[in-house]
Amino acid sequence: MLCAICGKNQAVFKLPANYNNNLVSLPLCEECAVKLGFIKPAVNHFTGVYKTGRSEQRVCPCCRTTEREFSKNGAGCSECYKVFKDIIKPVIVKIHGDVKHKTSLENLKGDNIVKSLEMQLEEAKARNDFSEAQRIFDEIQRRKS
Amino acid sequence: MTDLKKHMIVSSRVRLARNIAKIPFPFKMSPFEAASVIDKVFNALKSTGEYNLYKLNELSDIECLSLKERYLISNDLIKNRNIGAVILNSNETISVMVNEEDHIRAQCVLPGLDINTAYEEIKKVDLALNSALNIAYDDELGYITSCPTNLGTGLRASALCFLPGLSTLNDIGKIVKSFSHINAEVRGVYGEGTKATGYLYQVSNKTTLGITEEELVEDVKAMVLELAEKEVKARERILNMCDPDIIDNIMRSYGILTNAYKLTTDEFMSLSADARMGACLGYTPDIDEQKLNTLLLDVQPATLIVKGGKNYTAEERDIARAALVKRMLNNN
Repeated sequence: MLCAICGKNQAVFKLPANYNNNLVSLPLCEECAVKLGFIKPAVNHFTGVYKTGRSEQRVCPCCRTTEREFSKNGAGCSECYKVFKDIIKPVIVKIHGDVKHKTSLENLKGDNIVKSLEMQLEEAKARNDFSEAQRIFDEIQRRKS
Repeated sequence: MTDLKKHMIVSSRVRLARNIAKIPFPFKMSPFEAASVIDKVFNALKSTGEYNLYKLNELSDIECLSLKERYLISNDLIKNRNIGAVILNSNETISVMVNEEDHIRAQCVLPGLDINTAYEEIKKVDLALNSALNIAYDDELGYITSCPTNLGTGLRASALCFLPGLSTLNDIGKIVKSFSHINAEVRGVYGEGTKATGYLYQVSNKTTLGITEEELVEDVKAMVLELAEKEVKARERILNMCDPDIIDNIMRSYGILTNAYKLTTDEFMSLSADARMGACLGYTPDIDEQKLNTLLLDVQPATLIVKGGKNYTAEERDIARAALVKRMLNNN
């Protein structure tokens, strides 16, 4: 289906909208949806980080994003931030400055979360859900350390 | 009685962005992964309070549009309709979008200037999520988000402000420039650039990394209070000007708003803004702030259909809107 606005691009989704006092379901391409202010523009902060001609590419083991894809679409999952750390760091400095995450003591609330997790661990053990129990146990250890 | 401080802050909002570790972000996830995230998030929340889950692919276009009109979901979630969902508490002050730009976008919206309470409420949601799920987090980068602009606290605090004084005197642009060095930004809500229809502006923090949540909330609150002070002075100037054109426009707007047989959404936005301005300058009868803020949402076209339970035509909607406005404002 073609975009209702430009009539040229393929519509990527249908947006229910109030258009000229009419309630319609507008088939829209990404470009027109952004131009009309219906959706946010997809800003990729990592465009151009991939250097062509490299014989090897890193690949995120979690979401299988390659370095080339990362350059085109950004991080595919939380693990990408570890895999492509060296590429991401200068971009983050550009956006936020050379700063690290800060959080207040109150927000750490480590004790509350750990207590809650310990309860969940007992519940998982009681119903013999050992894989879930293992996950919760690992999380408790991570927070305690 | 003139009270220049009235009708200033329409609502406060605090929203946070979270993702479950080791699951692809929404733009890359499979339908199976998407469904799994929805289940995990809903299970994490429903054990802490009364929440309802709405999967967007099970809702009609009108229902989706009404949720958007009430600021409970975004168009970006509608774009991800096949994998998106929203979880609402019973009074719709808390809305948790699932599989929008991030796995979780949770917000609390409260009337007036109440950013601190909104933040306390959203902290409870955050605790529920962190207790039940493996939320992606890094000691240096903070909460991991799909877009790096939201890293760190993943928190955006904002207030929706009614600024007819600064707007009429064309001072908004100057104010925006004076705030450029602070961690805050001002933008018009219903219009282009700095001149907004309805004189509504959103004030929110810019950066999310390298600052604690509490500092962020206090920064936004400080800017809102400073803006409010400047707005009061602007309203005083307008009152002292006694400009017949401004007064006439306000009174005509009030007259049409409270007597018209039909009103389009755009007409309502423009007329109600002038009537609200008239209320705080004392030119027209006072209007209850909460009633007007509720009307702002209830007159939207899809919400009229959903709440009215009737599939109105455009003209029937305009008639129903005018009737609703008359009923709410004449019972003032």
